[in-house]
Amino acid sequence: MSDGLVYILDDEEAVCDSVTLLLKSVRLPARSFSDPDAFLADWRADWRGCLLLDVRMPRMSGLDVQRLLRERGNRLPIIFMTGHGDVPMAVEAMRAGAFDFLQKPFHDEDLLSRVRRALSSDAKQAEAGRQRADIERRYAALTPREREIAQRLVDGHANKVIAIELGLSERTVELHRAHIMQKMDVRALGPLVQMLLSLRG
Amino acid sequence: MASYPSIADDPLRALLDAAVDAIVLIDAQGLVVGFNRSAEQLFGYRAAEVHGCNVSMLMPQPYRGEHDAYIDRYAHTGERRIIGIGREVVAQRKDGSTFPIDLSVGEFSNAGVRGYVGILRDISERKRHEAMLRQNGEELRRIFEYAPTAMTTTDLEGHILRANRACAELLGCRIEELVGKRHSDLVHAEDRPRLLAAYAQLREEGGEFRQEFRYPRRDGTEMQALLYSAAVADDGRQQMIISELVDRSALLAANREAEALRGRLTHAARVGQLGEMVSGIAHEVNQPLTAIANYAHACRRLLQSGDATPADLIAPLEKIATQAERAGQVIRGLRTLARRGETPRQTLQVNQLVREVLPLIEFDARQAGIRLRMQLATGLPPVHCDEVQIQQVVLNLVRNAVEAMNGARSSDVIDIVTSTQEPRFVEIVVMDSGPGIAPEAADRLFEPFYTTKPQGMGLGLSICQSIAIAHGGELSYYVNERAGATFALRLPRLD
Repeated sequence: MSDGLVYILDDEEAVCDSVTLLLKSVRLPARSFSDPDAFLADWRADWRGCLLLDVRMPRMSGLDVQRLLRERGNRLPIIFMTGHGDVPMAVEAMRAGAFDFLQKPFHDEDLLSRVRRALSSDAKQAEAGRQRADIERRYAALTPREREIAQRLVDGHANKVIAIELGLSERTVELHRAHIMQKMDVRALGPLVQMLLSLRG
Repeated sequence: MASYPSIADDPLRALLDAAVDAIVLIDAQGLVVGFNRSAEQLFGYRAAEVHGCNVSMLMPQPYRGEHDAYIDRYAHTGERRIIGIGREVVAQRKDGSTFPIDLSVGEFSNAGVRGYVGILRDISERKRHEAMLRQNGEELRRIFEYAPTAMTTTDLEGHILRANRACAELLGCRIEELVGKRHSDLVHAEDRPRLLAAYAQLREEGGEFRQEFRYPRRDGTEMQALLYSAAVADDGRQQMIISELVDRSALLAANREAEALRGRLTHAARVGQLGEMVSGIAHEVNQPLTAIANYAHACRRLLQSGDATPADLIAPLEKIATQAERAGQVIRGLRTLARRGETPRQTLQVNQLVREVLPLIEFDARQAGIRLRMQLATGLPPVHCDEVQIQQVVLNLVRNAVEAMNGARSSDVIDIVTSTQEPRFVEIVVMDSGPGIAPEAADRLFEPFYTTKPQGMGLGLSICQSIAIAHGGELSYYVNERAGATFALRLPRLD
């Protein structure tokens, strides 16, 4: 697993403490909060891992916390911990994009498997993010003219057509294209198109 | 006045006319020879009108016709029936009306003239008075006789002198059967010494008493009655004892029924209350269960991993015990409150009652961001109470406080204080810092079916109050220094 952390937010100290111990028993590092305000104050956009969030807390519900985090651009997968009669809240949480939910009291396997899935999902997401950042960085290195030509390549235009459209010689277009492939670190047209399309999406 | 020179000279006449009593003189034949001024006023005759007439004109029939015979008989036999004796007779005025008089007759003989002097006093007033007294006495007797309450009079030894109809009816026997009996023989044998002692005290010291006794009825049933007895004293000495007997059986039965109804109502209210709280209570149990499950799983995994020492497991195991105890507390509180039917009153500590019931409301309070702060005095005297009902009241008051403060962010503490601030009571005070209660609502706070809550039935506080009163205590409300509401439940201290 990556360097992700399992964050726990539950107003009940005993729940925080016991979940922390359970995670520790399988060597999953955790950090717990029993106060939503303290959690929100500490939260940082680059936190990795997942969040175990109690749905019912004084003053601020788990759903409130979820909404605030979404507004701030949170990417931590959220696993809700719900009480006995909180199914409607769980449904609402899932609709609002929760990763999963657990009903208290839970079996350790249920908790651990969900946490692991959430962590790996987060890790994948983090990897995807890194790749995208990489592509963005390379794309940023292209000159304006190279970007113009790259976009036309993505749209499936042949060198000759591009040359006519931009009023260049076919030879010049070929040279630009070679630079583009080099800067984007690809060998064939296919991967290049894929990369650039991912930026558009 | 006409002259009767043979017997009267001027000083005598003056004396006759000055007399307050009517005086009539007659001769041996019964003819009037003297008639003083008072007699004129009494009979309405002038002296001249009666002078020389037979005195029988002054009396109605049948005496009128027989008077001459009275005189004759006396003249012949010398047997005195009235002379020197006096008696009450009837007289007749000139207008024919009659009236009672007290008549005394004397005989005189003066210078060979024999005659009689009659001194008459109008006793109409006295007669009226006597009749009135008789009537009053009769009225009193009837009042006693027909009074709807059972009454007896007894002598100082407790023998029944009189008993009225209601009394006989109540005891299922006839009046004659009661008179002469000792009152103490009417009550249940076990109660007899107590009644004898009470009577003895009345005899010695006077005054009154009010006690309950059991009276066996003729039909084998038993009556529970309140006996109210008072010594009637004259000149500081006890003369007799007057008693009133009130059948309490019906009242006691009604009370028992009312008590049972109230029991059902309070139980229904309690169940309703628990119903509203059930999700909070479930959560309150679920939290420790969750923690327990987690700790247990963690312990197993630590053991399986092989790199945990026994010492590592002690803390989580202790935590399991703590959490189990906590869940148990909630269940205990719940079980007490869900109990049905009569629970016997016990000698209990209010602090214990408060500690047991608060976990039930803990979650709802926390959910509302409110802290429940207990300030329980040490060394409180115990109280005699129904623990379920008292916990119900405490729960109700704390819930009301939580509801009142929900939304008001000014302060986040509800104080639950026990004390002996009031001399005769142990007090449980619930103090919130909510918005308080509007004056018009405060006046009607304990009225049944009065509510300010949209979903409320308006029974909560009225039931709480009836519980407090049934315990000989009270429930009161006042505005506290935080401008919130304070409710004080006071129960009589047992020491």
